[in-house]
Amino acid sequence: MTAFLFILAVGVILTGCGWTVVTKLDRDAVLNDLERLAFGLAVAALGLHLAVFAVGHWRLDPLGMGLVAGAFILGAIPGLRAMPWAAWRGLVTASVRGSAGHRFEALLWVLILGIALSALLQGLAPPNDYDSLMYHLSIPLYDVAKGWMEIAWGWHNRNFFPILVENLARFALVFSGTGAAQMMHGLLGLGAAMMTAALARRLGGGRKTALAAALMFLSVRVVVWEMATLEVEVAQALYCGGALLAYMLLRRQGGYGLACLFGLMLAGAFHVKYTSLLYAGAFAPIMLWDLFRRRMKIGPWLTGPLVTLAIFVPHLARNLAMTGNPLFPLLNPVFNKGGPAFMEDAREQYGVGRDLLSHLEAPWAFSVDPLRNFDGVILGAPYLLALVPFAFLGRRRARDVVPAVAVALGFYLGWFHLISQQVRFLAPLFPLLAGLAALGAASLWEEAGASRPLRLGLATLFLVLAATQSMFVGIYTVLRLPVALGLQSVETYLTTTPTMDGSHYLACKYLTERLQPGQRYLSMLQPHFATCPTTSAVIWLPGEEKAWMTGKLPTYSTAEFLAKLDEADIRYVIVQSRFENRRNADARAEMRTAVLSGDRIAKHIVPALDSVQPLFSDKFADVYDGVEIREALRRRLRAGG
Amino acid sequence: MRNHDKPSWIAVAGIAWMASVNLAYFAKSQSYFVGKLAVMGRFLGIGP
Repeated sequence: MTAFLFILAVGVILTGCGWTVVTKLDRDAVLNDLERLAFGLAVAALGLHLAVFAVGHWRLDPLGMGLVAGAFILGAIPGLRAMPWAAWRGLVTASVRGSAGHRFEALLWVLILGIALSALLQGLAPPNDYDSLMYHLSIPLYDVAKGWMEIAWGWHNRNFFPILVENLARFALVFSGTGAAQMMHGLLGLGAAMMTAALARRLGGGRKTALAAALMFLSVRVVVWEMATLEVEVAQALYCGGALLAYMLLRRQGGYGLACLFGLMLAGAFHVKYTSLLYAGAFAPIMLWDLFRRRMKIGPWLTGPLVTLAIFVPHLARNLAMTGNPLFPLLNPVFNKGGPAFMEDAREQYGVGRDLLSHLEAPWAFSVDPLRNFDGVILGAPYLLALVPFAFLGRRRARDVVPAVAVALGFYLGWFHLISQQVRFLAPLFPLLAGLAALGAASLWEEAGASRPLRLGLATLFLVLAATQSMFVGIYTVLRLPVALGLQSVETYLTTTPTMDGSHYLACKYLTERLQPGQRYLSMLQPHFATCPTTSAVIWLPGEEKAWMTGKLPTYSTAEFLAKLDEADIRYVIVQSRFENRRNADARAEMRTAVLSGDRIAKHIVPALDSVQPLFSDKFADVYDGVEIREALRRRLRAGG
Repeated sequence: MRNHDKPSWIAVAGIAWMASVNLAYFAKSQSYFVGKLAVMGRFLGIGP
């Protein structure tokens, strides 16, 4: 529970710091309090990331991060003192009293607070999601174990992705643990829900519509799932939703302050995930239109992109210095002539096609039949598809809805044609889509007028969607809260909870308990997971840690391979034996054998594995004695193998 | 200005659209839900 208190403190401090910055940028008082809070949290989280980035390469320990924390605590004081606490107290009291007569509004509040608290607390569950164990969490754990940030070359190209969420995790790991690190992302999820409500208000929705929008955002399956992990799309949704809201306000009011805010939001999005570059590109048509129609002066128009670029420079500079490519691993052959093109294979993995008709078919397909061609049930029940089309009723919203939809369509086209069509990559649009869905529901209710049959019909359909979605939201509460609250053991949770490919928890635990200081082990997990020890893992053999960047991995004779194992002084070898595949029509787990043959290392090690018994086996991995394996290789050499 | 006491064709279209989206979804996801309920049951110790 100290992790939960840590996150509450971080939330208050970040909001306090951000409030001061946002208030200074909002000299004309365009923003309401909800917007100042949401923008404030986002801006301060970006600031914390940059501070960890600057200090962490020197010291990623209590002293280094303590200095960062001290600066933020001092920076939060003016903001916390300036917040209108008395007005908010009155607002809360009035809302609680008023909600007695507005049962629907009270219900929305209860659901929002319940889901938000549950999602945040679920972060206390042990990490078990694929991408976090592979890099979002494993690289920060590696750095914290070392005591400073460095490129963990052995973890492939994912070292060079943007690292805002990972840096918030580094900060939390230094003071607390993985629970606090995961809740940092949950905190940004709460900010994204606030941003969604603010967006719905500016799109013409009333208070109930804004609450419904926040609820619809928090209920998206991937949002409630990711908020308790270090997968980064929820943070991306916060910054992308914020960028859209800031631009809508900028084109209404103008001014350098809002332009800066727009730039800061896009910079935050860039620091979270590279796909945000596409999202920024989607602003180009409406920005050019606004410049052409003289809706905006050139100064503020240019300020946003310049602020974004300036704040993204640290990431670009680091990648350029390390790899010769500021956007590594994107566009690698462009910057490194003859270098390998990374992640090209992922582009064709998903989607219903890329022809003209598929543009319309894809939203239907990923909403009602997501298991067939996409990355699983990302949205849950199809309430966004069911409700968004009705948001466009009524002319009063056209002024803001048109630019918002233009940005959304631009991003959708980019997602459709340029990147892997994974539905979770549409996260930058979730705040807008949740806002539009809430507006659609409100419009339909209004259109039904006083007709009881129509209202009954609509209410029934809303209830069906809500009941279906509640299962997706509820299942994570049922799975994660018991272990998060200490009612279930970590071992039971990690060995019984369904995960992609399966958990290596028991085999990793075996290693963790036996590895002595200074001992190392060869990991042949595909991929290597942070469930196992980090700094003692040998994933690439000595001397080949950077070879993957050239696309030319060395091959070895048995003698050379044995010499590499001796050089690394391998004490244990962990090998993936089986995995669960769930990529089928009903996401049913199918156990499959992991095939190691054919790999440049497997061709040496598989015959050696055949001649020794594993020290430990669980459902998905075997642990071998590294010394025995090396002896087996030596015997093969002596026998002329 | 629309007379709000009278229902519009848009509300009827809304119901038709939402109903078809729901039906299509459940038709495609039957086995998924059955599978998930089985997983849930096993996790809670009440399933086969």
